[in-house]
Amino acid sequence: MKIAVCVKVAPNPDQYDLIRLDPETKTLVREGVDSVISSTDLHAIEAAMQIKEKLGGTVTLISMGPASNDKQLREGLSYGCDDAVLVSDRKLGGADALATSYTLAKAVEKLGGFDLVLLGNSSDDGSTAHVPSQLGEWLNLPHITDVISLEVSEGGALVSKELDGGVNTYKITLPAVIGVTKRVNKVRHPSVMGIFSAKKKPMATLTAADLDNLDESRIGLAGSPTQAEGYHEASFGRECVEIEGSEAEQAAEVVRVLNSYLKH
Amino acid sequence: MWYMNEEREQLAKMAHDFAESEIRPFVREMEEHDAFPTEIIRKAGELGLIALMFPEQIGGMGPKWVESGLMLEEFGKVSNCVANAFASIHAGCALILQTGNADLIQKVVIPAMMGTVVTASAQSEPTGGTRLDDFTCTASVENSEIVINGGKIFCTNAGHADYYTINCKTKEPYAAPFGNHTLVLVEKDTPGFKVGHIENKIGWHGSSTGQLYFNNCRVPMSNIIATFDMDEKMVAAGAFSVSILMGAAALGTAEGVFEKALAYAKERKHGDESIYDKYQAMRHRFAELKMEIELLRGLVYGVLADLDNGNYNVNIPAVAAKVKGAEICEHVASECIALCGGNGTIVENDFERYLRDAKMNCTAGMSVHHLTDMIADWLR
Repeated sequence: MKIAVCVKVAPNPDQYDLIRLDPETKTLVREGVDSVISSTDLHAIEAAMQIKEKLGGTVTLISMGPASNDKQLREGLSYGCDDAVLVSDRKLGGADALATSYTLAKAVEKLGGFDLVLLGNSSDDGSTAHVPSQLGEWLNLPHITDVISLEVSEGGALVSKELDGGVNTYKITLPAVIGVTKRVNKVRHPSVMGIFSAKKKPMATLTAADLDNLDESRIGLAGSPTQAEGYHEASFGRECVEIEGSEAEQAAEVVRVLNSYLKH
Repeated sequence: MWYMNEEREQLAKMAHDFAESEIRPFVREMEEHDAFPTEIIRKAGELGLIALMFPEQIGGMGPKWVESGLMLEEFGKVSNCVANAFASIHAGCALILQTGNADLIQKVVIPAMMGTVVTASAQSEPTGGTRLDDFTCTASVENSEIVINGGKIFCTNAGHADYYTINCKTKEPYAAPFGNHTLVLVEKDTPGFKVGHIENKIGWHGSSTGQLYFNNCRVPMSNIIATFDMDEKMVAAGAFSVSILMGAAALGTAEGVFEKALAYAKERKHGDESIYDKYQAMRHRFAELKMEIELLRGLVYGVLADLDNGNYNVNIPAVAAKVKGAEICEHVASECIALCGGNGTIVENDFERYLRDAKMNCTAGMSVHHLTDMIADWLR
């Protein structure tokens, strides 16, 4: 079983209070904030490792981002994955979910295809949940998202996804792209041996020029139809309003205030 | 930090995640029911964490001293008790490792490194404490067996250990190759061996400290770990490894309670400002505590890095790390309670546990006074 896990390197959620927005570029200022593998992607790595332990095979990590992401990929390798590929090029900067999924699809094709492509359903930062489905479409493979349980055998997988008020279970043929949620498994701790052996594992870098038949109008900022129009900073300040009047008037005012928040 | 690299950062993160997900949820049970962290030790063994403290020749990872320190520092941030449970695994096996007895290494040390058995080391006695000349627990040879009679107190892991290393006075008259002391391995459930009263301590509630009794307890000669003319200098020479590991755990504990108090001080409002921003006196106390922590960090990792570089001539700074670690983590915990005001004194807010656990460092693994006396002797 040849498995790819696409991982995103995102700001550490424990340090979100340190993140600032640049009013000019409308992008995140990450200075002083650690980068980590997006937490749902760790569940995709765990799912891949469990499949590898059951059926054998290899697990390849694929990530798009700056060269500094090699540190997080090494960390990903410490969970027992076999190798990692970083897709890194200035031309890829500013990519939205669509451009990211296109680039990842080209990387998957370049690496010769996989029996299974796993990834977190959504990232900690952007949280669009678009990439798994888009990746499946670019690769012209069956794809499924919001997966809460996953049982893979040679040639197929039995997957369950959560819906409002129930769970649907599907049989899906392989190769396929599967977006997992955090409910799919409990992520293991990497072992000490895993950490020490990670630096000896192969890690390759692909540039835009390495990707075959790449349509450059679909990558990076130019290939990204989603652009931030504006932003506002949420206020977490507390406000105390004194409500006066009779008990009935006070109750009516409380209902009105609550309703006004609901309408937001 | 000068001692960090990418691999060590990953290891520290892994130890941090392990402490948060495995140790922290266990703390309440440990405090309320004196629960022993058996499962935590097993899981850490499975991940290879305990193996950091053991040599490659027996399947360990090193010993990798800086990495071991990072592990105990991270564990210590959450629980000084659990961190020291790991230091005591090393202490329980150190003497067997020193002798190189292949059978005992196979039987005891390797399973301990895997986290599947628990070891204990018993020295102190009711009279004379750890003073070797005053020992009354004896070992004699009868019919090709070792017979142990007497008792020990303050044995860490009593009642939970699978194997106990007992330091006995060799019963006179004895002949070569026996020396005045014999270190014997006693398995739990050996006839004639009984675990007595388990002490109710101020801290380290997940660590079982108790009395051991031996009444004609017979073990095979193959259970002799070592027998030699032992004096206080030999005890002192073996003190450095457990001292430095305890120093690393104490560093973590000081950091753990400091970060907790600092977060509180930055969140707690007086008027429209945090108490940290409002009161210079408070900021300066935090700054003073931080300086103490950083001094301890320098000492601890300086020694650990020396050991990794093969410089084992570290007795004074290693023992100093234990003594200063005990002082600093107790002082930091005590000050942090004061800095958090009334909230610092509430049991559920979990500041006082740090202070109670910190206090255990004054006596466990040799008292700070005994260790200070050893340093003074080395300065003669």
